[in-house]
Amino acid sequence: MPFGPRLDRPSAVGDEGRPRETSLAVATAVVLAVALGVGVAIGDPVFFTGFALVVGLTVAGMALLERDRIRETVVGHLLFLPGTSTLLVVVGLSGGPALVVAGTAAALAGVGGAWADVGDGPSVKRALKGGIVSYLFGLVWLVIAGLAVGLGLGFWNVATGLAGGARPAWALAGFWFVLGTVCLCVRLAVWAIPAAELAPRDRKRRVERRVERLGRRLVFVWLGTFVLTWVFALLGFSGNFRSAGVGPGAVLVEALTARILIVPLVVTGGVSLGIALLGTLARKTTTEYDASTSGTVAAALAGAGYVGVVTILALSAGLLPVVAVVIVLISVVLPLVVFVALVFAVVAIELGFVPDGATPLALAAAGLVAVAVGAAGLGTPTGTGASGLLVFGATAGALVVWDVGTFGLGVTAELGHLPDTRRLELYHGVFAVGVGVVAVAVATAADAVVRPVGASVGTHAAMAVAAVGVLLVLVTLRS
Amino acid sequence: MTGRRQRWSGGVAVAVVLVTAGIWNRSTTLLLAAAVPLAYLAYGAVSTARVPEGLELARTVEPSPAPPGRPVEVTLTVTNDSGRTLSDLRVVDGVPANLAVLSGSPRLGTTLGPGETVETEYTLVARRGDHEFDPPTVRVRGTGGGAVATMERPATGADSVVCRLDADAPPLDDRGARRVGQLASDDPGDGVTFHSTRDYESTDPAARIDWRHYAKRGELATVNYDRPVSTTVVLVLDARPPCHVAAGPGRPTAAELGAYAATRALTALLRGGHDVGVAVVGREGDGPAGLHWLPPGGGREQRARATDLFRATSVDRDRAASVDRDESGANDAANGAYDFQFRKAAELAPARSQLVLVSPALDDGTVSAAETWAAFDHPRTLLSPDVVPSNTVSGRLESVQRRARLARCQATGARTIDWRRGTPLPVALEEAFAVEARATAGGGR
Repeated sequence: MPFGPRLDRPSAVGDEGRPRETSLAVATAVVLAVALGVGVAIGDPVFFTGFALVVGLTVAGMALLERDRIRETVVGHLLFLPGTSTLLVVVGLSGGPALVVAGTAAALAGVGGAWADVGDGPSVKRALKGGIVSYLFGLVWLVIAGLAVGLGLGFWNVATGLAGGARPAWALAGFWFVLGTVCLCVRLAVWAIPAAELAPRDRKRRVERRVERLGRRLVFVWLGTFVLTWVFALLGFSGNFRSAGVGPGAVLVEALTARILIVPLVVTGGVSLGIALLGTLARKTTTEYDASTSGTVAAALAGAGYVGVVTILALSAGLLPVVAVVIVLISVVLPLVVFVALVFAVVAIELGFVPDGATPLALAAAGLVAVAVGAAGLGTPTGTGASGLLVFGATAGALVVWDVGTFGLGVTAELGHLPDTRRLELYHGVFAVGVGVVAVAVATAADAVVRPVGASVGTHAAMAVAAVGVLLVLVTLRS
Repeated sequence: MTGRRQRWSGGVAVAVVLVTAGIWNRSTTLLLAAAVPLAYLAYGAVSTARVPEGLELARTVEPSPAPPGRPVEVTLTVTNDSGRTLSDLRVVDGVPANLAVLSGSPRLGTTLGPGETVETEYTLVARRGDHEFDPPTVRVRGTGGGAVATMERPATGADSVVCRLDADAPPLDDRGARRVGQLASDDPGDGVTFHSTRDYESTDPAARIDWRHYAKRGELATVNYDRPVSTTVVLVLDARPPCHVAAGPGRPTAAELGAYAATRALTALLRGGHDVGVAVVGREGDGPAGLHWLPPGGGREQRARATDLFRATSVDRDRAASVDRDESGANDAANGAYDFQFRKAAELAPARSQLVLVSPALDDGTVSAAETWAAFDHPRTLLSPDVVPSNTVSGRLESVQRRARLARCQATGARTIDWRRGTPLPVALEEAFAVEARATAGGGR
């Protein structure tokens, strides 16, 4: 395993699995060579390193989404959607020619996907479905988190704003409301904690009775506080309950609404609510969890993770609220762009435009073709015709990637992953690269000859004739 | 069979894109680039492929014959004597359909120059019977990968995997080991292991005089040796339907492994001079209670009869289910009949004989048999081949249940030997009988 642990898990002879690794190594070397050539052409030889890491993380995320274990699936979610969105941002902000940069990123993603054996129909559908579910969960978590923060702040303001003898009826109504709410939270925690289930068998009945009694008492207390809350609220409305300013009544009101009493109550209620939530989650996951729900649970956890990441990014730009808002908006909008691209990919696979098993190779080759088309419009920094060489090199690279990639897939399908086929693949790879080198040399020479008479060649009629001729020859040879 | 594969649809698509972009941008460079795919199509189109006559294939199988469950190494050697380089050669050996590849691969793919040889090795798991290989499939491609020629080319050398129950059993002498037996008795006798000394008697042979004793004390003494004795062993083979399961596709069933273990035990015991009887439970026979029953006896004829019996009763049923199966609806009536057969086997065993049950212990019938036999005054041994896979959840559960059954059998007073996969059977048998021999030595005849 010269290239480290593999993300895919091939199992048998047949259509399963990625191309054999020697073929993929040749394809990877070709893609990196073209990427390096693009860098040289635009004046920054290692420009692709700016997004190569993001591409790798995205591919790894897509591969991890195929796993069964929830931990790996969550990591896959956290890598895939944020990684893809980040890739869009990085490519957009790279400053290079858009088609060339996007093509290079696509080629890297394709060859990475081929290594990880992702990008075929099922894995793209799984990534699309999982991404949408986690995205929706992220939105839900975002709303819930906003509501929780708002409610918490409001409740805190109510609880800490009770003190003051000017309006004792309202202060006491607030106190009973806080106490009743805390009782409800504690009642929920008592219900959620499996105290009886965890108790020793000989004390189980006794614990059950105690829990039941405690729950009943808490409900009674809540009912009492509910009544008292309304009583004092009505008194506050009527205006008949005014502070005497002095005396035991005023002292009692002041004591009951003192922060030293209210704050622990609020904290107790919050902790109880958290315990109730955790207990309920634990109960649900241990009694109702099965393989079919693991994907949903992973997406839900990942959605919470998205909210955390976006929150951290937004807080890091806290001094510039506009930037924070932009970050949130981009985080919400960019995944939609990713989903649209994935939908197009699924449709293309379903309609047979892209071969299912060789989708990542097709992506890599298409990326290199895009590089070729984009490079044709590049200015040559040295005036030596380097862009022509890049165009031909990228075109030949696309064909080599397609050739050795599909050859390696065929070897996998016929022989599986166990036999040592390095010599066979290297032989084929060397011939494919050799043909490419010869073709690039001939094309470059022809370009040097044709360029001085480009004006006459550039007529529409001449171009159409040349195009039809090339296509006819290609179709004839293909069949 | 020869043909061509279309591998360059993508090349045509690339050319179309480049031509379109070239016309759109009025770029001669892109139009020239559209000609690059031509080179690849031409490269694929001009290549040809055929399987040369000089391609030689040879196969070796080791060991052959092999007992059930034994890994069998297969080596397929391919030699290119054609005088030209085969740029893309792929060979797939015709593995017998009933056998599973344990490790390695029967497939190879390489580039093979003139005079070069390449080989692939793989391991099969032997199952009882003769399993013939299909001819290897050879596929040759042209340099461009477009032209393909495929054919079946027979291999010289071994053409089948032969698996017999008595494959590694040593030959049996007409009169056993020319000794009374191999179990040691408490009484002195004519063996080779020192037992004690006694006063010399005039009829004692001179070779047994203890000369050291005479040198020290001036009195003649005679050396006694351990007296080898023999006993009677009844092998009971469990061939009930639950035993016709395998650890996986192409693996021997528990019944096959049990028959192999019984065959080896039979041979070892007969060589030791013991009398051996055979009972097969679970297959309808013409003996008492529907048993296949072979009364205790010795010699080669007894072994031949017993081996034939094992061979006949260990053949696969219509299906060999997986061990981690779910067959909760057991046939109670059949189980009752099998319990009766187990009891009958113990009743048929001569007094003071040993009972050896060979069973995978995949259901409670084995425990029931051990509990039934506890009522008889026979030393009892359970030899249990392990066919439970440990790489599945249900297999692990089954493994725990099986071990619990072995423990329950042991609790009845039976000696249990767990023949784990990967442990050579002779080791398990040696442990099974050597220790038991000590325990029952006084009971020999």
